[in-house]
Amino acid sequence: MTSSRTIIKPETGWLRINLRELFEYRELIALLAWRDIMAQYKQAVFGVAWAVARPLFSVLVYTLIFGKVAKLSSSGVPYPLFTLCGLAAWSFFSTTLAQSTVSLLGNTNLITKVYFPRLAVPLASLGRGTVDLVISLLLLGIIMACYRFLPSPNALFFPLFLLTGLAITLGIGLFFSALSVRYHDLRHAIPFLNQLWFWMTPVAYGLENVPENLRFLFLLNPMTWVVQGFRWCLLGVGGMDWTGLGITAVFAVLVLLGGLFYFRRMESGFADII
Amino acid sequence: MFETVIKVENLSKRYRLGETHRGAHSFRDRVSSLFKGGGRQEDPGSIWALKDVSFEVRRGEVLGVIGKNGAGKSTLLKILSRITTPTAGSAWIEGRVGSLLEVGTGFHPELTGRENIYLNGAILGMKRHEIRRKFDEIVAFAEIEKFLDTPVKRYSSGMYVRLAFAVAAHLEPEILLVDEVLAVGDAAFQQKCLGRIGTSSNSGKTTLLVSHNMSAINRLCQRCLWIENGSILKHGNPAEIVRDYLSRQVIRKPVVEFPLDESKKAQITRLEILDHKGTPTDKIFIQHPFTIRIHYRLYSRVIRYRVGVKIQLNDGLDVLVSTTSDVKGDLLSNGEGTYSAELSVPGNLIAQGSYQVTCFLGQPGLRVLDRHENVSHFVIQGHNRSFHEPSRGIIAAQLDWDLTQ
Repeated sequence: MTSSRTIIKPETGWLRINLRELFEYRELIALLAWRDIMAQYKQAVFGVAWAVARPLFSVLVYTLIFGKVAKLSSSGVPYPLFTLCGLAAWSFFSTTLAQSTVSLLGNTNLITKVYFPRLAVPLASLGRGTVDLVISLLLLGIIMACYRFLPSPNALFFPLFLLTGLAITLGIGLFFSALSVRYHDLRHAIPFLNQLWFWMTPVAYGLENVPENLRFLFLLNPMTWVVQGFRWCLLGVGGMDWTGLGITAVFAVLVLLGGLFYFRRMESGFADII
Repeated sequence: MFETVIKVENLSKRYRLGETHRGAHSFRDRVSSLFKGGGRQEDPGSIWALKDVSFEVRRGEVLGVIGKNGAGKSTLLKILSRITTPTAGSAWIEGRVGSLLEVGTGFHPELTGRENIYLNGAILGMKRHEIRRKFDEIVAFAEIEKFLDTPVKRYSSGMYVRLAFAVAAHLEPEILLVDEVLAVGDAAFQQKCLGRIGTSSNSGKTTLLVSHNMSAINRLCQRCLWIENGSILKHGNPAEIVRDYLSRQVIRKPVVEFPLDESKKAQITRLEILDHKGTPTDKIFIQHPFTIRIHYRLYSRVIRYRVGVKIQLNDGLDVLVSTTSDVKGDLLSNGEGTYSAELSVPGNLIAQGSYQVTCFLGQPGLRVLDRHENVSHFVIQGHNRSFHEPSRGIIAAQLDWDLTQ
C-alpha cells in the first residue's frame, strides 16, 4: 500500500510552495480552466465567434478613432496591426485580471468544503486569457499575411516576452485574487481599474504619442514593457534594447514573487474569512 | 488491523470574532474604521472553536462525532481535511483522505452530469483514468443514466445530491471524513449511503462521521466522541454516549424561545407544543390531537422556503418529518416580517412514548436557514399510564380486525 502521511500543524512557512503537489493537481487546474472557458460560450448563440469578434471590433474602433480621426503615428506600421499586436498582450492581461479577481470568490463552495492547493484556482483563471491571446495572435498572423507584412527577426525573442507577460499577469492576478477574499467589493472596482490601466498602457496608441513629461508614468507600468516588447518582436517597431529587456525581466520576477508571497500569506485564512 | 491512522494532539483553533464566516468585508468598512478608530482596529476578541482536542483512530474504525451545533465538530473535520489550519497543536493522518463536508460542491450548473463527474473527481483528487474506470459504477449508483448529458442546473435536487455522493463515495479513500451529508436526500438514498459507509469499514477503511442522526451513530460506529464547547466531553462506547447525550439534550419545556440574531437571513424565534385546548404542554394523551407551532422571522425577503418539524424517538429513530410543502408541494415566499406555521397532529397517530422535536426553516436544495435539533420534548401518554408495558410500536392507529372462524 502506498500510503502517505499528512501532517497538519499551524501555518508558519510563508514562501514554501509545493510544486510537486501542484503538479499532482494539474488535471484539476486544466478542468477548472476548461470549465471557465466552456461556461463562457456554452449558452451564447454565436459561441466562439464572440472570441474572434471582440478583438476585431476593438481594432476597428481604435483604427478609426486614433488612426483615422486623431491621426496618431503608429511607427510606420499599418494601424490595425499596430493596435492588434498590443491588444494581444493586453487582452491576456485584462481578462486574467478580471477572471482571477472573482476566481476564489466564485469557488467559495470548493474552498470551504474541500482541500486542494488553493493556487490551482488563480492558475486556472489564466485559461480564458490564454484563449483570448491565442485568438488575437492568430488574427494578427492572418492580418499580417493580408498586408504582406513579414515579421522581424526580433521574433526570436518573442517567447521571452511571452514569459514575462505571463509572469506579470500571474503575479498581479494572484495578488488581486487573494485581496478580493478579504475585500469582496474589489470585484466592482475591477472594471474601472482595468479601464484606467488600459489607457495607461500604450495599446490603442504608441508610446511616442505620450507627452514627454507623462511618459515616466507609463514606464512605471510593467504592462507597458510587455506591450512594447510584443510590438518589437512581432512588428519590429518601438525601441527595445538590453536595458529594456532587463527592466521587463526584473519587473516580471518582482511582480510574480510579490503576488505569490501575498497569496501564500493570506492562503491559510481563506476558508475562515471568505 | 490495530495500527493508528489518525492521531490528533492538543488541536486548537481560534477564530477572531467579526472575522468568522461571511463577515462583511469591504473597503468601505476598512476605510470608515480607519477614520473612526484613528487607524487602529480594535481586536473584537476571539473564541476557541476547538481547544486541546486529542484522540486517536485505528484502521478500520468508524468514529462517530456528536455535539450541538457550534460545538466544534465541523471545525475539527475542516482541520483534518486541511481546509483550514489549526491555531495550535498538531495532527497526522496516514493514507489518502476523502472528505465529504457537504455534497454537491464543485458542481458547475452549466456543465453536464458527465462533465461534472470529471470535474468533481479531479477536485477530490482522482486522476482521469481512475474516474474513467469508476465512471459506470458512479452513474449506476447515482441512477442518472438518462440525464448524463443534461446540464446539472436542470437536475432535481435529489438527482444532484445522488450524483455528488456517488462521486465522493467512489473515490475510495483510505480515510473518509463525513459531515452531515446524510441530512440530505431521500430516505432510501440515505440508507444506500449508510450502507456504503458500513461496507467500506468492513474492508479496512476508516471513517470519521459527524451526524445528528443518533441511530446511524449507534449502528455504524465502534466509538464515539462527544464534543462540547470545543472540547471532548466524553469518549467511548456509542450506545452509552448517545444515551447520555440525548438525555442531556432534553429540555422539558413545551415552549422554547430562541434569541434573535439579526445577522441571519431568517430564523425561528419560538417553538410551542400545544394540546387540543391550546395550552402549552409536554404531556399529550394519545387520543387527543395536538399542535406544534413555529414562530419565525424573515429579516429580508425569502423565496421558495419551507418550515418543517421532525419528531424522533428518544433513541434517535425518526418517527415523522413534516414540512409546509408536503401536501401541495408549494414552497412559501414572503417579505420581511414575523410569521407562524402550525402543524396539527391528529390523535391516535403516534404511539405512547417519549419524543424529541427538531424544527427547521430552509430553502430546499439551496440552504438551511435555521435549524434546531432536538430542542423540545413531549410524552405521549397511553390508556394505562405505565411505561412498563411492552413496546406498542410507533404508530397508534386504531385499526379494525375482521374476525372469522
